[in-house]
Amino acid sequence: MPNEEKLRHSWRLHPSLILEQIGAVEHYYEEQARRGLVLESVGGWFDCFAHTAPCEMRYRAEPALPGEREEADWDRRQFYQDAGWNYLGTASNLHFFASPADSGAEELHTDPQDFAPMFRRQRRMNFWYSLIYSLLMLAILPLIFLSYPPEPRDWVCLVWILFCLLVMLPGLIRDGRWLFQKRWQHLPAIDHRAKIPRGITLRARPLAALFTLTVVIAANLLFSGSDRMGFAPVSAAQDGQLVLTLAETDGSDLLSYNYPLLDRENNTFRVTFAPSGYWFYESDESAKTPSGAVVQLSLERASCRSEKMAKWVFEQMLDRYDWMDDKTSLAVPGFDEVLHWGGEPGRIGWYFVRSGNQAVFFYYEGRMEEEDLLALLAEHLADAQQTA
Amino acid sequence: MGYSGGPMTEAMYYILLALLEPSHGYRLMQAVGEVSGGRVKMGPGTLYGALARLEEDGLICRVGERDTRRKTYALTESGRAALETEITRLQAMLADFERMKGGVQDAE
Repeated sequence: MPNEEKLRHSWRLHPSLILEQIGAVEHYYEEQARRGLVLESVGGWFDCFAHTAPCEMRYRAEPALPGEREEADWDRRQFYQDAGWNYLGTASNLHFFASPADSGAEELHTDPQDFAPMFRRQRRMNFWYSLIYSLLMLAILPLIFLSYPPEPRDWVCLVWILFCLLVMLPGLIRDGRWLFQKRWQHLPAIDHRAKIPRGITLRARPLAALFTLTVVIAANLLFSGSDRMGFAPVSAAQDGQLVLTLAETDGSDLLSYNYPLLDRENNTFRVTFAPSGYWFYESDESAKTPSGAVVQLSLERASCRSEKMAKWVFEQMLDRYDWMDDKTSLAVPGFDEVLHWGGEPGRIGWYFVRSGNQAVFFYYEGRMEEEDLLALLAEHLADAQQTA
Repeated sequence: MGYSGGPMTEAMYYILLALLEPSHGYRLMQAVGEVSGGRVKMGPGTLYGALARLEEDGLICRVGERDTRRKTYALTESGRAALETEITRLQAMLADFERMKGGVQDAE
């Protein structure tokens, strides 16, 4: 080994391959030494190389014993040292040793069957990981499609997930066949000069990172689909229609849009905040009724695709306004649920209303009688329902 | 599964044979080569796997200072008895073979 002082060092990704390619890993390190990069230590993620003159080195990887036999492993390292090999470190359950090619260190050959438990364990882990991942993705895809119409950005994610599934499929089949045929019982001798796979340091870990990213994307898609389940998409709305104000914001990011009401001059909808996972709109409108009464409404309304979803949103509304104690339940024809809180009914107060697949919360201050007010609301909701 | 007194594997037999004199890992590997006349070459993986099993079975034990990284192994009384039993078994097998071989030659 060249003089280690004043040597320049560099770090490279540790090869992470299936264990049967141990011979290729050893060969890879030997090739690096020929290029002037002598391995000094190995780590789980990075290897440290010293820049030296090109030289001939030999490297050997040995399976590490399970953790409870660490003491015995120390003995084994000593064994290699006695035989003229230097211990470089342990990574991926492998001890790495090095010796200059001309050192005369005794060649030590490990029976490939000694690797069998490790090989089998790794193959089984890969197989089950791939299988569970694939099944999970396949289960998520229909859920996303059933929950709501995917948006263009969702299509990109879906295509990405399908691509990853296709990439994973050959490995899944390969590992499955290896396990089914019990190939760990007949392992070939380790070829220390095995061909070095292309991208030996880049294959496994970035791939794992990409798959992790895919899981995150899929989870987001799933949550997004779950959140939107039952709501009409924003793109389906038209200007001036109640349904258009399906806000997609979260509580920390207040948004406010003003949409002109086409059929009611001087009226506006103000789309305001929505807690994460809960879409609704709030509108302030002042309108003259056919009888000339001025109605002032502060309205939140969720137009849902199902009655079940509307019940859920209705519960959310009640939760958000749980500080309103002792709400009065009213039986009003045409509505499934009506709760009133505060003030004189029909003059001032807050109303929680659920009708079919619509959930509404509004504040009213005006001169209308409660019966007329709710009749107006029913008309309002019917219009909105037809529009949607 | 522990050693039940049946036939030994080649690795077990030669390790016990080499440990008639206490030895440590690397020296033991060389000793196995020597006592087998170079016929048996044992890699570190096989050697340490066999050592772990023999120690679990109580046929060998560590001797000397336990805080050094180089561990010296020696036969236990059970190990010595197991080795003698195995040698007796092998001798009996060889005698059987010789007797059979002699019988066949007489018949010819």
